[in-house]
Amino acid sequence: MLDKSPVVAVNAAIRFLSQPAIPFIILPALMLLLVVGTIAQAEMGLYAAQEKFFASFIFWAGPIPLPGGYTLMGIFTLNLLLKFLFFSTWSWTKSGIILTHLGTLVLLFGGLATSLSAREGFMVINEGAQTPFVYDYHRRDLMIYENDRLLYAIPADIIEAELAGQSLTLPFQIKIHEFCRNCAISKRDETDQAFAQGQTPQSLAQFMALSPKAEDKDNEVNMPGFSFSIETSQNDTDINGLYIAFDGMPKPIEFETGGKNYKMIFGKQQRSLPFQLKLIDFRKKNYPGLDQAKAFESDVIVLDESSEWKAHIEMNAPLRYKGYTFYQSDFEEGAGGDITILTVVKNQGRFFPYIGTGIIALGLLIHAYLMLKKRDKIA
Amino acid sequence: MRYILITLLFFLCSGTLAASEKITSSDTLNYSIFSNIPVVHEGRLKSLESFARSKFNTISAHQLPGDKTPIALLALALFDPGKMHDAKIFYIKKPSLKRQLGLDETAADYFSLADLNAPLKATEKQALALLKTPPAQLTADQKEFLKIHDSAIALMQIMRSFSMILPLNIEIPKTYAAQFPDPSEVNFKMLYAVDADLRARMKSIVSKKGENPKAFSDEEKKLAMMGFQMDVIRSAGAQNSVFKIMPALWGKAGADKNWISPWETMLSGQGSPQMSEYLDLWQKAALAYREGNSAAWNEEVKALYAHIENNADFSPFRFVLEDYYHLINPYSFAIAFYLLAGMAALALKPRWAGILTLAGIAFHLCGIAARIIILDRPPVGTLYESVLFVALICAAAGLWFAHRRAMPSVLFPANIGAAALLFLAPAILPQGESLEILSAVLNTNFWLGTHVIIITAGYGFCILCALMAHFALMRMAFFKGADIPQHLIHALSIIALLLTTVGTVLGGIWADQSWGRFWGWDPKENGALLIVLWLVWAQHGRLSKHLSPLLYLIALGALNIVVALAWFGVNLLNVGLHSYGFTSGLATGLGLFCALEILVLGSLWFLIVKKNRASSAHAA
Repeated sequence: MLDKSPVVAVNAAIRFLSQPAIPFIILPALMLLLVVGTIAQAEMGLYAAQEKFFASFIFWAGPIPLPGGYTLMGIFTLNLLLKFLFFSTWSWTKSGIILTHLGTLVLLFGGLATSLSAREGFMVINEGAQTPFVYDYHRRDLMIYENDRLLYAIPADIIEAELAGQSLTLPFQIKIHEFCRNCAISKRDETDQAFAQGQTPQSLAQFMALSPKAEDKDNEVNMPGFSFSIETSQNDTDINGLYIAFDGMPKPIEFETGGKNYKMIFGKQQRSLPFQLKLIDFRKKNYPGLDQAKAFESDVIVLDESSEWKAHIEMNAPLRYKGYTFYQSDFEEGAGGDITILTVVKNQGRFFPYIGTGIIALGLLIHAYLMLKKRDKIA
Repeated sequence: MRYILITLLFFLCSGTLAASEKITSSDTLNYSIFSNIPVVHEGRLKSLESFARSKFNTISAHQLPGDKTPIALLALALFDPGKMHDAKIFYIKKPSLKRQLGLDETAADYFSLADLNAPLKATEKQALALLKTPPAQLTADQKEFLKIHDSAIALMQIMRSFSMILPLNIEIPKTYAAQFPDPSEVNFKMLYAVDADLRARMKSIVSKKGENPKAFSDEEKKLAMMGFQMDVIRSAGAQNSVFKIMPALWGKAGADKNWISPWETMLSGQGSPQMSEYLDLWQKAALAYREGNSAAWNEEVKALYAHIENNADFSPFRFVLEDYYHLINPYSFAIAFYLLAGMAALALKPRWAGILTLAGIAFHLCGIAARIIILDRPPVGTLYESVLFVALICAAAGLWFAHRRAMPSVLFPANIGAAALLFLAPAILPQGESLEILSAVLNTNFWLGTHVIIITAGYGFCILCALMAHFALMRMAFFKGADIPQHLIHALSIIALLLTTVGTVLGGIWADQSWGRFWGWDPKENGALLIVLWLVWAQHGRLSKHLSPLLYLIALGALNIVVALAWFGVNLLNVGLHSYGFTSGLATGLGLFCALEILVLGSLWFLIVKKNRASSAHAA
């Protein structure tokens, strides 16, 4: 015989979690979060506000922890799921509401799949050039190559911890002096930094120094960087000394020690696609007589192993291939030819909204129809 | 009903009078053909009438002196810049702005370019500094100050549009006297024929005598002076691109929708026989204008129009439609009919209310249809257009429900709502131009025709639902045993929920199609979601009995606030990918509206609760 108490407890839990009072409380909380998170975007920037309010379990209002978007939507989803599974009235008259609930659940699970799987970045391609690389909008990495082979890619936010622990197997020591999320560049001669005393400036550090400045609310505008020193076991004076690295640094730090060539680059996190895109032509079409764009478009060639074919990308008409979506987001015009900037998104959950929307629309239509029919009967 | 008809006549007459004012001209010349000549302005082909209206309404801050029409002013600026220089058309009323510009605060409010020359020059640095400030951080005074500078530059550009074909006050050296026997008729275009020769002569003189004019002979000095004057005119014309009246590459292979100004034609070397002939015709028209020769003017303008009509691709029908659109202003008629329909509904004249609503909808539809034809796109691409569309939905849905449910009371809030929205719509127009082009991402008829139409229709139903809730609450608060169509309000809220949900999700699908992601927590997206969540919350509260019928009505009444915040409020933030909807200056109005709504709904709730308690006590 099964002990009844766990079943009773589970039933009680289901009843508790599916009670209508929960959405009645959660929905206003969600609306409040939506309003606060939206207003905060003006101050903090879109990305930071999204991370703080919507893509979080809790956020702090001073010393008070408050539920973030994940928590509120999680509770709402659980409540709706339990209500849908255990307390739906399976009848024709309630079919509209049932379908609407089902569609909402599909949307919410789609949202979960998207938040777990979606990755966004951008490609920069010059006319005539091809590339497999996608750069992240926000994340920066320190990449260390040994004989042109990538050894380490250390995310910017853990550089200090990672290098302090010296968990890297390298024939030299790296010591971080100062990390700034948004750096100002000044002339080395005019900058007085205590940690630079007695150090031989190397590479870019011979001319430049980094110092922290106020962060911009738009994370893409910030230029993170750091000052560090390298010390080889051979006490090589050409290598040992002070270095700097920053996002968009014009040339990598390169040296040879222990018979191997090392290269260090700090910049936007990059990843490689399983295929390449080549830009044939970029066009900007303006409204007559204005510099305001009516349309942007890129003609590209997709190069995938031995096969290649032409594709066209423009506003509202992206290219989709192998789960990736490439859409026209920006461009640069220059004397050396135009440069197209494509945003690249991989989203495993992209079909959920389409299915969810269809179900919700059907549900609401049935509900409205039944309601109007009922009123007609009464009339 | 008699009073209603009198009021209607008053509105119709005032509309017609306002319209007829626009075609009155102090000038003796006839501009009817001239006003239909095409020009490219703000990204589309329009008539000179439309161009003139846009430019001179901006310059005069929509306060043109009574005896001036935009088209007459345009002709004056183009053909007689000297007189235009002295025409008092800049309207500056604010004492603070006058003070900032160094103008006499006690002077009349109209100023000419001549009056403003010195003040504008003195404040040039100030204006340049302000241009570096983000527009959102500028005060209203600073914006107006910059607007005066902009307007002056725009007017000067227009005045110089034909400086190559207008007679020049220039002394012709003997060297070229044979080529230009009548100096009073000489213009830059004619002199341009000897430009290369003049340069060669000057080069030779300078190489022999150096650059000091003191060493030149009298004739050489005259040549140098002529060269200098031509350079001054040329350099002023080099930047002149505002008056784009002819197709680029006209008559050549590759001619496209890009149009260029006379100066661009002249200096770019893109000329063609068609262009040259067209410029000659403009020159003749200018001459006729300056002589005040009405017969010649009519002839030349006819020839001008015939030339462009035969050689370029444009739709005169759209021009005429646009002129009538501005002349008639169908929305003012729609407002009048909606107000009358609302009054008729209040006076319990359902038949009249229905007919008047229908008349209002007819004018409203004409206006929106005209916009679709003129702009060649769906009617909801801008914030202003969304207000027009929401107002139409509000009135049309009200009429449908009133007819279908035999419930004429709905016509009162529906018509008042539609009239109020139409009345307020011009307040959100940037620079007073209502026929705007769209940013690249919005340039898709499919999504404008689906997502935007559905979501704005949702706003319309939300507003109607909220107004009905207000109406019901007022009846509950102030009338005994009032018939409250709560089921109708509920039905409206369900339709609003259906439309806003589908519209929001379609927006997500558009975002997925355009930007590769369904949802990005962008302010516009969040605003739309806020409305959906509010409606879902109200429905759940009603079903779960957490909201009493009274609180449910209050919640639906507050939908007005939620819609206002989602529709207009998010545009004040200036963040996100939906950058096309940004606006400024609405914050105060929006704040006041929200505060007033809270006050009204709170007071109604208080009165109803008090009334119910009194009834209960009385019954007990």
